[in-house]
Amino acid sequence: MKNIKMKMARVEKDLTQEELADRINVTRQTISLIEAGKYNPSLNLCVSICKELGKTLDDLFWEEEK
Amino acid sequence: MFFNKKNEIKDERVENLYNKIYREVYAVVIILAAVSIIAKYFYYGLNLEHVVFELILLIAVSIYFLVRSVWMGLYSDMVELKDKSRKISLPINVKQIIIALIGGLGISLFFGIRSALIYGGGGNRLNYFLLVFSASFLIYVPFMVLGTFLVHYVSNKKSKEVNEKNIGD
Repeated sequence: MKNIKMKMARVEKDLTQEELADRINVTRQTISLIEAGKYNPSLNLCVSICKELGKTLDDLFWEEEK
Repeated sequence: MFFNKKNEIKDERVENLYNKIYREVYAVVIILAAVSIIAKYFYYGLNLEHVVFELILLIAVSIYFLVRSVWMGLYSDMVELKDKSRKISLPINVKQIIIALIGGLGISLFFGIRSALIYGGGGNRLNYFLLVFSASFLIYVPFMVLGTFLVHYVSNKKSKEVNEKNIGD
C-alpha cells in the first residue's frame, strides 16, 4: 500500500526524494519504493525517516484499519 | 587514500539485494560442481582423481556454512523456524535421520547394482548384489545416521549457547 503520509511529510519539508535520501544515507530508489509501498523499511530506517521529517512512527507508518 | 571506505554509504535495501544475488551465486556454484561430478563420472568412470576439486569445493563450502551458522547462533534459529513451519509433523532431527537412512540406502543400492553388473556373471548377479548391498548397508547407514544425528545435536547445542551468550551480553 502506498505511503501517502510519508510523501506529504516530505513535501511539507520541501524535500525531493533525492535530498531526503542523501540526508539519511540511502538511495533515491529506496525512498521512492518506500513511498510506493513496494519496500518495507527496517525499524531503524523508519526511525531515521521520522527524525528527518519531524514526525512520529505513528504519523508516517501506522496503517489505518479499513 | 584511494581505498578509503570511511564515507561509504550502506543502503539496507541494496545490501539485501546484493545478499540475494550472492545466495543465488552460491546455489549456481554448488549446482555446477554437482553437474561436473556427474558428467565426469559418465565420461571417465568412477575415478576420484578427476573430481577431487569439485568434492573439495562441495565439502568445504558445506562445512563453512555449517560452522558459520553455528558460530552466529543461526543454526538453532533455523531449526526452530523449520520445526514451526513443517508440513509433515516430524521434528527436524527425525527428518534428517530419515534423509540419512535414504541416502545410505541409495549408496548401498548403487554399490550393489554396480558390483552385480561388473563382477556378477553366470547367474551370480543376484548374489553379488545382495552381498555388496548388505555390507554397504551395514557400513554406510549407521555411519550416516549417527553422523547426521551427532552433527545436528552438537551444532544445535552450540548455536543455542551462542544465542544465550548474545542475549546475556
